[in-house]
Amino acid sequence: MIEVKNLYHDYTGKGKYAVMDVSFQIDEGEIFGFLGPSGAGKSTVQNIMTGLLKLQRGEVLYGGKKVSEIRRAFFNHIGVSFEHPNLYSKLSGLENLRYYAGLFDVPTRPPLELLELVDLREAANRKVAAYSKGMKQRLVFARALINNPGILFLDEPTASLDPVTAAKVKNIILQKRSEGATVFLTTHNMYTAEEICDRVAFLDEGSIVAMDSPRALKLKYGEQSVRVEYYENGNVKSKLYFLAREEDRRALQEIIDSKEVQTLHSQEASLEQIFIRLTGRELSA
Amino acid sequence: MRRFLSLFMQDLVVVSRNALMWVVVGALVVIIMVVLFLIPADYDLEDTYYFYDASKTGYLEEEARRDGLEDEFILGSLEELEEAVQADPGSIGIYFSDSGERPQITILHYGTISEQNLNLIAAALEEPLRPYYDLETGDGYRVEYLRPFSAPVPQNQNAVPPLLAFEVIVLGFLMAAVLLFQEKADGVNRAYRVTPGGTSPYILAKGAVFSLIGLFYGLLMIMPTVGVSLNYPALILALILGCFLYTCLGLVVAAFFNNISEWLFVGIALLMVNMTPIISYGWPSFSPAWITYIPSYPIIFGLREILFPTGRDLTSLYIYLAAAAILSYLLCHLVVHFKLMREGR
Repeated sequence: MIEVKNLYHDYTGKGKYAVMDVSFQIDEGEIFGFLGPSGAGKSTVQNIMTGLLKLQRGEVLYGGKKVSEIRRAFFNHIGVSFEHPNLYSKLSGLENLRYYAGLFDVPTRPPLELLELVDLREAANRKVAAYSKGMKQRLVFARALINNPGILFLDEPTASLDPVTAAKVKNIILQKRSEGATVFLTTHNMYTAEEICDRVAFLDEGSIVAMDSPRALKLKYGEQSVRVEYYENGNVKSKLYFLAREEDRRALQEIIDSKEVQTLHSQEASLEQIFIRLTGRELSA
Repeated sequence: MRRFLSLFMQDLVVVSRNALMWVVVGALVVIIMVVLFLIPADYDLEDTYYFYDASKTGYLEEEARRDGLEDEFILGSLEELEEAVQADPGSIGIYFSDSGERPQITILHYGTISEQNLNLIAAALEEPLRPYYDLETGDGYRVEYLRPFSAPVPQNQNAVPPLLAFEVIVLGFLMAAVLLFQEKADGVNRAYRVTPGGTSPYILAKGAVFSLIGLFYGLLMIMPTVGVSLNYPALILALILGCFLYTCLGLVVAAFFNNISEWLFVGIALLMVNMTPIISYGWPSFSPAWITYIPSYPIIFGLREILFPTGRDLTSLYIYLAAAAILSYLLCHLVVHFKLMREGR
């Protein structure tokens, strides 16, 4: 079990916290989604958890053991996929994986098998400098799996990927969970989180504003909503209205009465809508 | 060991794909060509002396001829002497007259002659004249050889030790910085930090890579220029320790900068300071204490002793190199650990 207790982080040292009083726990074999817009503090929390950032205040415990007491051997059991691909550009994809595998003390997966897994087999011997952003993202993801980690930290693993490849990556993550791995998934993609996470936490301006399973969050905060598309000044505009709210109902009626409505769809609340409702901000912002 | 080998291979491949390696190969070819074909094996660094002996006895002319001086340097009049010195401003004219009991020597030269050189000229002229005149005898000077005599080293081969010290051994200083900045640009250090890798294998792998490259670079430079009959164990040990020392120093400096542009001014300045012992190599009497503290000072003279042995004991060189390599490694470990491996912590 991973426990994060009352985590704070201040980059400036002037009391301007990027992360404020963040607490959660992740059970073994769970996929825990950390949702929030860019700059919400998601990567900061992940970096503290992986030891890349200094723990300033609070606690991070792995199986009851403090992260500050963890020694190098701990890294044999975690895999980290970074948001920004960090690879040796002068090495091929295969070389990147092969040399990285050599750093671990535990048995590692064959690099070619991993490249096959993320559809990079054909580009195995091509220099990474010639890879597209999506290819680099997949290679970074594959690298995180090389030591068969029991804990996976995935920072935006489906960013820059086409829907087919993204689906493949999500399946690999689910496969890892079925093998018993614990996954900490950082993303601003609500669909990814909704599809694969057992639980999610919404992070906004450094604080957790809600945390539960996607279903429970929908039951708790979800409201029937209506998305309306209408013409205004020659442009098609789209707006979302929650039917439980008096002011939204009035606004919707006003649109119907005064504008040329193109489409009108009622829908179940998505995680993004719940996030908007709770924070007033969009996840993709 | 597996970790070290993996990092070693990785660094070797990355470095081999860097454009700078082609520059190194090109420099090697140019150096070999220059040493073999452009620098003559022997050239005269002595000053040219013209003599006119106006004395009745002609003792100085007699002694000069006995010493093997050619006719063209022994002139017949003061006018001829003045013309000769005027035609060759770097030369020194010696006008000798014997107006009384004591001989008189006048020196003609364009420019200034240092007091030391004047004393040397005076001493050199007094000695052969001493039997002819009632000159005071005494131990005005004596020559002491501080090291054993050895066969003279051809001038072109004499250039090899400085080339090894300032081209081959400092390669690690420069290339370690280039490799580090490449890693910073790629952002790979963050990925390395979430592995059990650690600081020591990271430094040792780079040290080993540049020691190996330096060793091959050095041997490829020495063999065509100096020959293959060498004290290989001594040479290999000096090259490896020297390259490792400078690789560690290169990492120490580069760790404080983000890219080659930021590093350039400080890096080049340090390399220039490192080159100052070449002055002592050319003029051994110039060896102030500060210059002897620069690591390249003992290295350059040590390499000359290894390539052109005179019988000097090299133990002190190896003790110095080993101690300097260990100290620079410890310093490098400290800097790399806190600047690179704990960045943001």
